[in-house]
Amino acid sequence: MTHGTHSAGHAPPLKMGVPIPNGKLGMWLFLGTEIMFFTAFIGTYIVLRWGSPGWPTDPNVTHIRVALGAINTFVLICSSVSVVLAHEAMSLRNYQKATKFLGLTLALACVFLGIKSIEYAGKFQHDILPGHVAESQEGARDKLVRELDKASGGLALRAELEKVKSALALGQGKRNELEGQQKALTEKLAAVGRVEAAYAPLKEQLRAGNISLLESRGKLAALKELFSGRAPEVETHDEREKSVIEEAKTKELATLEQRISADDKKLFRDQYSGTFNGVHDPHVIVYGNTFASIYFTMTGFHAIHVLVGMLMFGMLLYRGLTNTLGPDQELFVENAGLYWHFVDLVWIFLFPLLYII
Amino acid sequence: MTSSHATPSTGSHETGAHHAHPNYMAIFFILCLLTVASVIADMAGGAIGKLLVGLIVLVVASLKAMYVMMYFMHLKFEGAWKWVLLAPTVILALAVPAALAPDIAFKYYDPQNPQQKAYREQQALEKAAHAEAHPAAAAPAGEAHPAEKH
Repeated sequence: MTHGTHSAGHAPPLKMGVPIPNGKLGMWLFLGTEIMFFTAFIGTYIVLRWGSPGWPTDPNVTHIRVALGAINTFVLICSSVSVVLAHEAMSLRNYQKATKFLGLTLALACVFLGIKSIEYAGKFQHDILPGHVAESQEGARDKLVRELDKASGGLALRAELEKVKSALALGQGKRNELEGQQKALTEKLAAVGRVEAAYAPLKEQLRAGNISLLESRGKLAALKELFSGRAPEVETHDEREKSVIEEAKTKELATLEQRISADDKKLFRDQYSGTFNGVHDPHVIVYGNTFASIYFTMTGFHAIHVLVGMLMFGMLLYRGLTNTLGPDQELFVENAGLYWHFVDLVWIFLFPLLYII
Repeated sequence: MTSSHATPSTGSHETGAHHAHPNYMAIFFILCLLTVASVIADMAGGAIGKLLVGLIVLVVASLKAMYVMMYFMHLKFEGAWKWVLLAPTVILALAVPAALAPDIAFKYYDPQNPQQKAYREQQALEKAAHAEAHPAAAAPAGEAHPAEKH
């Protein structure tokens, strides 16, 4: 029987593996690992969220902008269409058209990252960063004290002065230079001491814990106004909160007017204007640190994937612009497209999970 | 790329990937509509309840993902290899959340962590503020509506 079917030297060729190009198989295997990678993040987020009653969802607290997220979703959908059209053009050997769509995909990826960077800037501005968020009233007061001290610069100056004094005592370095430095630092510290005195009563109250966060926001606003000469914007959407803050600010400004000498006021405006502008309003965001970690981990890894995609499209676009795009790149475009659709897919889930729910 | 392309250049034709030409613009339109549906659900949040909003947007996201995978990633037109390759990864992907869930999500005890303490304090403050603002409604209404936070 066997002799009859297989004549000598004509055995049928063995066909192994899946019926797709090796490159495409490799891409799909890679995407398989990517599914596990992102599902681990998304799944962990869902589980953490489930077990954390009081998770921050208010956009005024988290500074999550649904409109920006929705625009970015739209941008990625457009880019997915353009990459699929680029692949179709490649299949039809229309390389000019493919180049146009590859360029469009790259441009849309840039738009996506641009919008993402606006969102990231907002998070940095409001200090919604992992490890920076106060999760209790006490934590918020402590944070404000630390930020006030850091802004005045007294702590850093004292540490520097201590170093110079130690060097002088131990006879290290040039004595004249060190003495000069000591004199300059002492003079600077005397001025900074006047700055520190301006917020000393607020600091005392914060340390003792006998001031509400709203009241301390008002007092901080008064301090900012005293130093910069401009009333800072009160960031709240609650009219009651706003009135409490404004009232505390007006009272504090009146107190400061009486307590601070004209000389000091001049010094603050001339040399220390804007010293406290970077100090953040004290807020409590329960689970704010976990939220920030999750937000930056998920969107950050997604943004890295966008960058990798841009690199691929950049390489292909270069070939298109130099007329070196040919049939050999068809599989590359298909694989880059598969990768890009996956990036889109991840965002499709990140958008509702991070921006809406 | 060239070497992998050379061997099975007919491979993708065998699977039928190039035979089908889905209407990409129609898929694009559906995806846009679904995104708009998510945003509308978010805007209607207060009226329909958070749980329902969550459910709607996740179902919408799954639909969008299905359209992208089936038509843009051509999985609808690929051979059975897609199941062999993707089913195990999807199952394995669920391992981390499944392993974490019992300890973190489904706690049988009342967690005594600082965040929970702060959350309870915050809720008490909000309740007091609400009662102060609406003295008549405070007694029968009980607790503040979660949507009224901040």
